[in-house]
Amino acid sequence: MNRRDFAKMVLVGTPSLLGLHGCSSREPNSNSNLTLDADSPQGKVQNNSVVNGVQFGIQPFCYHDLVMNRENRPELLRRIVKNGFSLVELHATWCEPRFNVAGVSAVEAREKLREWRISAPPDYYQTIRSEFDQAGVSIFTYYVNMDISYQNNFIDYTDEEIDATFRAAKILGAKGCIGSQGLSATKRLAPFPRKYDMFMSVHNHSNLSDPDAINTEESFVKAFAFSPEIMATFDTRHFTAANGDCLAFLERHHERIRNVHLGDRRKNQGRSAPFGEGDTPIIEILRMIKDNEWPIIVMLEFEHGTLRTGVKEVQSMFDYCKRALV
Amino acid sequence: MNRKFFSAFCILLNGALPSAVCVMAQSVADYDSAYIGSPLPDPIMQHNKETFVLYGCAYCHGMYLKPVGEATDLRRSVIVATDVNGNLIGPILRVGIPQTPKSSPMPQFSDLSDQEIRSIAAYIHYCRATENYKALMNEPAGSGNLAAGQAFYQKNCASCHSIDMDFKAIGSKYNENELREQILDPARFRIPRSSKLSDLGDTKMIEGRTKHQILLENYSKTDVENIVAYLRTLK
Repeated sequence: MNRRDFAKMVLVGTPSLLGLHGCSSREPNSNSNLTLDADSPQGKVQNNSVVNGVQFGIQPFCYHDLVMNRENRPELLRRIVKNGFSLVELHATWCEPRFNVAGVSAVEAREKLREWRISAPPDYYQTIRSEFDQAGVSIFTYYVNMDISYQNNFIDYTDEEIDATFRAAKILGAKGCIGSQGLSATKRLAPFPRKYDMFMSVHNHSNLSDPDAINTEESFVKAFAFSPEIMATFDTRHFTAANGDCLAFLERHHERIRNVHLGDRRKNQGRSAPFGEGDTPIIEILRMIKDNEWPIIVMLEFEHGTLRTGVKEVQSMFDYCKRALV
Repeated sequence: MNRKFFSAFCILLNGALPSAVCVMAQSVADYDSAYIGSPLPDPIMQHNKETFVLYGCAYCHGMYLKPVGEATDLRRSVIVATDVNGNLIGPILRVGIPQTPKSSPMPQFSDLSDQEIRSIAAYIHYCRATENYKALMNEPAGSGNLAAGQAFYQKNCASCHSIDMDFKAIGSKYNENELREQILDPARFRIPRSSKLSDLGDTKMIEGRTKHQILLENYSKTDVENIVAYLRTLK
């Protein structure tokens, strides 16, 4: 995929012409990079979270205080816009109801969620997409862990539910689904994305003791072999913590990397750190993507501690990236 | 610096004060009270909490120890329950838990200072004690076992308290509910922490506060009812 294809891919999902509404609701001092195009008769929202050719987006885990549920979605959108991002990786919990409430067992809650997913009408997701469109934000990837869940500890996705998940992602405008599933689950998921002209991303963590985990270059290569639609959401923090070489991985596998979760961590299973305080070569990664004009989306994500608000911390991280790409 | 010199220093500093206030206002404005909560009344515990936040502990284990995702529930941890000043928590922090079925192993924090480890441990214990206090105060009163209460007293209380001195006739001084309240949250410790030397000329108040917090985070309902039953007999 060259840069022109990439631009098309992003713009197809770029929010509709209803951006005026979203922009008018922004705070006057917002530092958002989303602006109205004065020359455009339609007043189209511009996708401006591009810095020197590198497209940025956000992984909303960054807003640590914000519980990931559908009730908080308006606030999530407000923050994304305030931070100036036009792309997001949306976790399913921002869209789905929660059934794991008091008095409902984990198994019952899981069954209710499955039934809900299979029966959710397309309009439901279309409405959510419209919310994002109006705010000038595109959903690039839809995050669902279709794997052994550490919360209920069993693999139970039926084909029907996997199909429903991809259909939902498609309506939302996502280009692919992503999850932190292991190799065995990825193998099972591999045939599905093709049916929807989408990709399925695997996301690495740093667990080196689990042979099924996506954690190293070798595990990514195994996952890629399952299908051409299996792509990488390359997490630089966890890769660094697992003593991987981020730059070598980018060099060898950039064609299979759809997005990067950009954050900093220390090697040897070290802690997450503010940008520039860990072992992840953040600046080199950004320069590599820019200089090679790779169509890899950079999603900012952090897990390090801060006393500042998520919005302020993200702003500081984004500024760091902008300085790196001068 | 003596007091007179300090006054002169303050007057000199006065010219720079507006900008200092400005910086402070900015830093307070940036403080994420929605996530971290309002500052605690005790500045030392607030510092401990901030250390807990800054090293990312809160992100996984929860601001008030309600874990997020797959992290260990520190409210139920046997290791934490028996930790004293970070003696068990510290070594785990330093090396992490690399071997785990979880997708994200507990990271290692090899660069933490001893003081930072004590701070993190202190905040964890504070949260556990606070939660246990609320839970036990909401429990309906029960009947305790006098002999078990006496045994608990001998093991955990007698090194600091005496039934012939401060606890003399304590069963006449307080009713059952008041005794329960005093056991869980002694009135002497309801004042802000102070580094001023106590009336004994030492810092036993600080030690006592620490010991009571350790007891509080680990008391069971049965323990409390047993001690109440025993103390009620001291008349």
